[in-house]
Amino acid sequence: MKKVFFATMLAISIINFSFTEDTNPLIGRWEWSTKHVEGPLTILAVFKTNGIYDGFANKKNFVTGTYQVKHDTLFIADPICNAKYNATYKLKFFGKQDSVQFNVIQDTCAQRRKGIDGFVYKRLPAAKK
Amino acid sequence: MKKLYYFTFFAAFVIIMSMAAFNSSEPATKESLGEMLFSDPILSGNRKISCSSCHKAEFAFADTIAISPGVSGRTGTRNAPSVMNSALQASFFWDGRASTLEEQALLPVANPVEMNLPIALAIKRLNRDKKYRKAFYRVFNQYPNATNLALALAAFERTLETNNSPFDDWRLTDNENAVSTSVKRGFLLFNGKARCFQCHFGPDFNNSEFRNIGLFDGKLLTDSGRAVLTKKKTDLGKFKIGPLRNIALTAPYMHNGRFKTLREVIDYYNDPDKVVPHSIGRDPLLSTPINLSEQEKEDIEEFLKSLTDKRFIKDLSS
Repeated sequence: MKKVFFATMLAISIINFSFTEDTNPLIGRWEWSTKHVEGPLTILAVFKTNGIYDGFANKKNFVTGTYQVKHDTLFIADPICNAKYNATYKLKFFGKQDSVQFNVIQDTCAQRRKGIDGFVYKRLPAAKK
Repeated sequence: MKKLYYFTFFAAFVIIMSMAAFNSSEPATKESLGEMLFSDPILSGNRKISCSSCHKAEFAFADTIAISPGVSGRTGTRNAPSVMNSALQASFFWDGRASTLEEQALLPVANPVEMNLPIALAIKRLNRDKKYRKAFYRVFNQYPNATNLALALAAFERTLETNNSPFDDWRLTDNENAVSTSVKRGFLLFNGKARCFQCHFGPDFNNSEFRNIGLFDGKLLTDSGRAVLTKKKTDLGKFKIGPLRNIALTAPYMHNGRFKTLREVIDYYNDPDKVVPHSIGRDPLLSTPINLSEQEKEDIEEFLKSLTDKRFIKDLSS
């Protein structure tokens, strides 16, 4: 009986683990663009499978931080604001998860809020290597 | 008769072709007009120096000496910064006295210790020059004036963006081989123990702030920086945080060009008191030594070198 229990637990944990890994809908490249008088500005966010994300402005890296997705909530930290402080944002996906809106739940970092809160990022095709 | 005909035809062909070639090299955009102006000594009082005399393309549009000489060898007090990667900057000059590239573009032209040409005179000169009169009219539908001169120079400067360094390659394309393990360690130190990231962050590794890094002591180091503009005591010795892209090419460093190498810069930040013991108003971030090991210093230097755009890397290694 014990064996069956442990086997079931193991199976559940494997299924759960692969489910979480495979279905993190944020993994990938997301873009938001605007035009200023000085020229166009494109922000690219790359969420990697290892829990690291990079932000780029006109293809220039401007931030590297850590993130985690739990259900519809994003936990995000970076050294500009405070690497040890996790801000939280609610994720709202559209269509076939081809765009996402970040809505602040809690973030003490005004700069990050300014760049994320309420913005809709469009998913980009995976980068060619 | 036939010979004369062929000769005339040939001569006409040569003239037309050479005119066409000449016309095609005439600037047709504000960017190309700005590029032409940037390298033309017409914008200096004695017609001997241009913007490119102090902002040299091969050194990421910076200079290699602490203080660049202006017209007739006159010198100011500050190091010529790189004009690359200025599109996203919030202010210009070490003290931030200009808030747009257009505003920035004309100030060195008129500055008596730089190009020493009053703007009204510069405009007169450009209007007397057939080539420029024609080019400005073509680009702006107007003859040269202060506004379109600034627009052209600023437009050229906005083309000088670089985002193709080994560091960008590593972060953007996940190319783990783009940089060495030393660079990767340096990046972690930059963001952590070395505290660099507290001020040097953003697409060009500087934010829009002004900081006092301790190079003001009121005795030997007397440039009061931002305070000259704001008249605030709290701005004494504060300067614009310098962008770091292509930094390996833009020595010497700091507002006064005091440090000749990146290693000197890192050594300074590691323990500022050893270099300037009685600074006034130094930022609290630099109040204690960082205690970097030799390996850590080397790693940070390697990281900084990885911010060099690939167009310059050949030059850097030769």
